[in-house]
Amino acid sequence: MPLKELAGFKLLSGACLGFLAVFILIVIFAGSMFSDPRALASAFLSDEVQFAIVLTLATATVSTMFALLVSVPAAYALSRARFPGKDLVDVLISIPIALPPVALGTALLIFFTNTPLGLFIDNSIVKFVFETPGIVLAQFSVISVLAVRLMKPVFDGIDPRYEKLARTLGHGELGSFIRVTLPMAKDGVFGAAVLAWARAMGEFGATVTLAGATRFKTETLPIAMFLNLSVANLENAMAIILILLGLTVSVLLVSRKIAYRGGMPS
Amino acid sequence: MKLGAFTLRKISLSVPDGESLALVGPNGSGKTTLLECIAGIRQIESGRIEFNGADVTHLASEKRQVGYVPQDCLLFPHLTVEENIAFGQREPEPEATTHVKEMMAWLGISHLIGHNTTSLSGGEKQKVALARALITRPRVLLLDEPFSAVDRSSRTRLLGELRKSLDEVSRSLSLASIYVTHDLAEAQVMSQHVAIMNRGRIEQDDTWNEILQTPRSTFVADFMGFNILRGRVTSTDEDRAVVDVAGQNIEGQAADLTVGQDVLAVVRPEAVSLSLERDIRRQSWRHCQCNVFKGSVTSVRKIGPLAQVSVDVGFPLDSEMSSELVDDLNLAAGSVVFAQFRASEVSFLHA
Repeated sequence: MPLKELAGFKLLSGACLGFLAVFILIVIFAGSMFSDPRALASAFLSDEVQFAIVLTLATATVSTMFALLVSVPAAYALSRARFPGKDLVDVLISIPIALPPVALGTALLIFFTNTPLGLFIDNSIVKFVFETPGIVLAQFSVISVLAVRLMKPVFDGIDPRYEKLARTLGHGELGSFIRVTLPMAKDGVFGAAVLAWARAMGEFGATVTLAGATRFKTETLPIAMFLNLSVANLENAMAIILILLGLTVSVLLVSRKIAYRGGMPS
Repeated sequence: MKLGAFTLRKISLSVPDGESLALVGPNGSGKTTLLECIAGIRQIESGRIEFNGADVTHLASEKRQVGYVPQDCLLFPHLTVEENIAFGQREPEPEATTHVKEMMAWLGISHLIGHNTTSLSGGEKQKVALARALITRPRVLLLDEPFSAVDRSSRTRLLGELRKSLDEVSRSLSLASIYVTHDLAEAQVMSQHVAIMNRGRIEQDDTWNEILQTPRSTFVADFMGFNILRGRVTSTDEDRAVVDVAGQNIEGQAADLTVGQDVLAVVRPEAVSLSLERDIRRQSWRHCQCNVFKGSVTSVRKIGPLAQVSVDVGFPLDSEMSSELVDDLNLAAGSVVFAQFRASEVSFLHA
């Protein structure tokens, strides 16, 4: 490629990147520019916002832990196992990523309110519909497959011969996974967990459909924002946006740092 | 032994305790696959693997007591040198740490305590991988081209060191070892016994002397770099036969040939001697039955102290000699020479 053409392309691609960054900055910060800082501070300290922060952090943490428990072995199996129908399984577990979260929440709501198994679980084991566990389940449904997608390349990048070698040294399949594969994948797994946690904090569509939007009950930060917007309380809505923004930026910065160290695609 | 589409056929190898076997063959011949089957890394669909008479065919890899040193050592990158070595240990502390230190001292790598594996040289990695395999006190040691990632100059030194270590280990632990390589020189250093593999089967399993004297297949002869000459038997006499190759008679040792049969005469390039006059240069050759042919040199290739000289004597013939001798004889393309080799150095294969 001629030098002039190369320089032109670099300029064009740089301009596109700059445009996107400025666009996002304007969209996000435009609201805060026109908000009163005192009103924002008071909104931040309000009981409703404090409740939403605690509930969001708690549910996101719990759902991320559950998601990891399932996603780590699932991603490992998807990376290593060879079985008929693997492509189909791969597609199936990707569906929740492609599906709008509201649709996922609707499917869960229908399952727990209209199917015998769902009704049994909701009535006799754990109450999910319009309750706090529903938030965790909604977040789990969205982030677990995302975590699988993020972790599979991490396991793909680890030579399976390390595990086989560990087995010749006297360790079983589980022992080889715990002592070799998992430590080698830890940076990538941690990066995926951080991203999944960030996604759980911002989860709205599936949560509002399954757990509902009840003040001081199922009011996570995104739901609190929605409730405040619906009654035109812009100060509270803006305070929540800034809180979410602060959390998201810090989490993304941390996960990028870890992802680069762990060789995870970022 | 069957593994999906790839089949290891007619594999029958035995390595006595305290001895080592070199497994050689071209890339893709199934050497590593065979090693992985023995280690239990791959499961075979049919066949049988025994250690000291005990069937281990369906035994899980972790229960076979096999020490495996793979091609690229595969040291665990998240562990230090001593953690790698101790990985397969089952002993309680403080015996475990003591044995790791003893093993490191024995292999001359005590200075690597606390080191990260990424900072090691090729030779150090190989010794750490060997220590890791040996500390579990295996029944069989499997070494898969452990020097493939080491530069040529270091390889010669490391080979000597490994041979010495292996000899000691084999004696003290009554350990049977299999050394895989595609490098014949490396295999000769590592073992007296060799098995040559091709397309999933053992072509020949013998001592080096036997293989160099009597290759049993065209593949073995070709792999070992023999001259392979197609001809027809013209006369036989007890254990000798005369074969017509491109109008020239070659005498060699043969047991069961018949006149008129098409055969391949094979002779090592090292056994072919070149001289400028029609005489037998070596005193011991004076009364032997020798094949002597006049021809002209077609090419001379010097590789360090050795040289390969190709001669056209009515058929192409390669000779391997010292570069010094090539210079002494002033050999170059077009030189007229006499190529000679003993009848005892010629063996015949069925065409």
